[in-house]
Amino acid sequence: MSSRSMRGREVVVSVKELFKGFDAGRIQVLKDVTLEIAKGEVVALWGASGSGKTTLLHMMGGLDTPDSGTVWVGGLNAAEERDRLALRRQKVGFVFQLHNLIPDLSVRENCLVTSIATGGDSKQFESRFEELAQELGFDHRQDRRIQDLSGGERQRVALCRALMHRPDVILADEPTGSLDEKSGERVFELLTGLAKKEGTTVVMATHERRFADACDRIFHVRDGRVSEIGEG
Amino acid sequence: MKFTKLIVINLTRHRVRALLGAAGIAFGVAAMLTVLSIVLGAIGMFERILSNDSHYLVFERNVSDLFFSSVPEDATRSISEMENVDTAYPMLFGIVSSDDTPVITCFGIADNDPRLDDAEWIAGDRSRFGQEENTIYLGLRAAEFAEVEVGEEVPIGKDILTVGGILKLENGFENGGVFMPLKLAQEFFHKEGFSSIIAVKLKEVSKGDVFKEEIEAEYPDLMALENEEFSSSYSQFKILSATAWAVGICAFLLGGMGVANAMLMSVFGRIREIAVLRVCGFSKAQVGAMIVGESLLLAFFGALLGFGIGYFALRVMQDLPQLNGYIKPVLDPWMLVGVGMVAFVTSVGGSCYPAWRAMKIQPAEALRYE
Repeated sequence: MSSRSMRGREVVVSVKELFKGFDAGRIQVLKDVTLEIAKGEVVALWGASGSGKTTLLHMMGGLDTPDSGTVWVGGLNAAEERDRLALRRQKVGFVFQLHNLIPDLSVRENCLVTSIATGGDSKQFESRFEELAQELGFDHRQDRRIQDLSGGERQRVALCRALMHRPDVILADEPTGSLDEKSGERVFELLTGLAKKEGTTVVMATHERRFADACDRIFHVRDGRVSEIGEG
Repeated sequence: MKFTKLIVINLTRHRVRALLGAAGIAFGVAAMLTVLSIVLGAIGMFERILSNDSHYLVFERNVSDLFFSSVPEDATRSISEMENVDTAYPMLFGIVSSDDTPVITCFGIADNDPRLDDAEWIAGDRSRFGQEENTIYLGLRAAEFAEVEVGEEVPIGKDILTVGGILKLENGFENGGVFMPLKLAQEFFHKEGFSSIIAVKLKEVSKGDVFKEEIEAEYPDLMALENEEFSSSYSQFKILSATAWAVGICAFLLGGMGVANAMLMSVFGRIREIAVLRVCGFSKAQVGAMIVGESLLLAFFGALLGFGIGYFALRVMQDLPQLNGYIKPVLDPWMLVGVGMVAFVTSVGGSCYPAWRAMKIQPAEALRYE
């Protein structure tokens, strides 16, 4: 895909006429979805549970393939097998509702798992980890095991893991969904703050309107259809 | 963090499962090591009985077992007179049974056979060997088992023979056997004028090929083989050896199934975690390599443990009075390499299916149901 711009900014996520169904097409989860997201934007996919937000994020992250339509992220075609691994290694970072950290690894080890996958310079990853741990406020707990951390701390570690390889896009699936109000707000602030600072695009699925309103743009996801409902 | 560290951590997280997997390999290694050591040790003992300070064995061509070989006495005489031959000792093998003992190995040997000089004579007179009629000489273990002393009579097959001496020999088979003067053995086994083999010592070993050619030219029904050549070609040794490897490999297959089970359980218990690794950029090959790596590490520690258990078991058996002398464990380096290789192949084989299952995990599907 050639580099395109949107309001003077480079488009990093481009979804066009996307359809996705399950159970041999009997359940249509995404219907004719088209959207574009520019570099550095923080956008919300806002909608109720089961509306198709997670499936759309999975498509953008190359975790699933569309039935039809195209999904381009950071210049890579998320529908193509050959691009999907590179997409996950270089272009996107995931944050899940449940942190999905590996229980018996330490905070540091969980974050450095990315360095094994990419085979990158371990010293660079170490210093990146130190930098992020400090920014996210768990630098004093980096050798703790995951089970020793609170829910908010775990989500901050998950955020760190997602940012380790300096992705173009953070795909966050209800990152505040399992946290109390205060912790949720803190994680949201850190996510959007770091993304703005590093110029990383954030696509966040949420059912909470208050978080959606705090984003640059809001896409309403309803019954598999996506429509932009305005700026946050 | 290194890939290897992740493998180690994954194993240590489920210690019991890892221990069970390693134990499967350990028992496979121990079983294989023990069986192979005993069988190869037994083969070695039999080889030493045959060779007895010789270079070549002469025996009847195309016999399936040396017990059926018949070498005429005139061949022994003429071979011993050959220019390059230093010594030529005939030996006749036979197996009989008595009421108490189902298998008694008998060795018919010449009066001047050097093994009589090498043995420690516990009772009896070396110089009387072959001088008295119907007199046999027992290995120490055989005498202890039969509870007989010199001068007493002992049933051997259908005959009653007198014990003329008791010899202590290093070789377990010889120590548990019966020595007969060659003439007596020939009569007893109805092979008058024949021996089973001739053990030949040459003056110049480098001229061994000439000796072989001479034997083949002079005696078309006989053949001469260098001791090592004989050991590698003798079908009974091959069968024993193959059986030992087969039994060992069967034990390993069980161990391999243990590894497969442990790794499969591990994969099923980590579906979500593997999905997360895929999300973090792990390729299918990296996920597969992680599972195979875990399995190889299990095999490594299992093999170490197995070598320890096997060695300990052999030492215990070696020292057991009932087996004294019969077990001479051989821990051949190549055998250790072979056992190690089988452990490696088994663990890789056992991890193939779990690794394949792990590689097939679809991240989106695994994460959809959080």
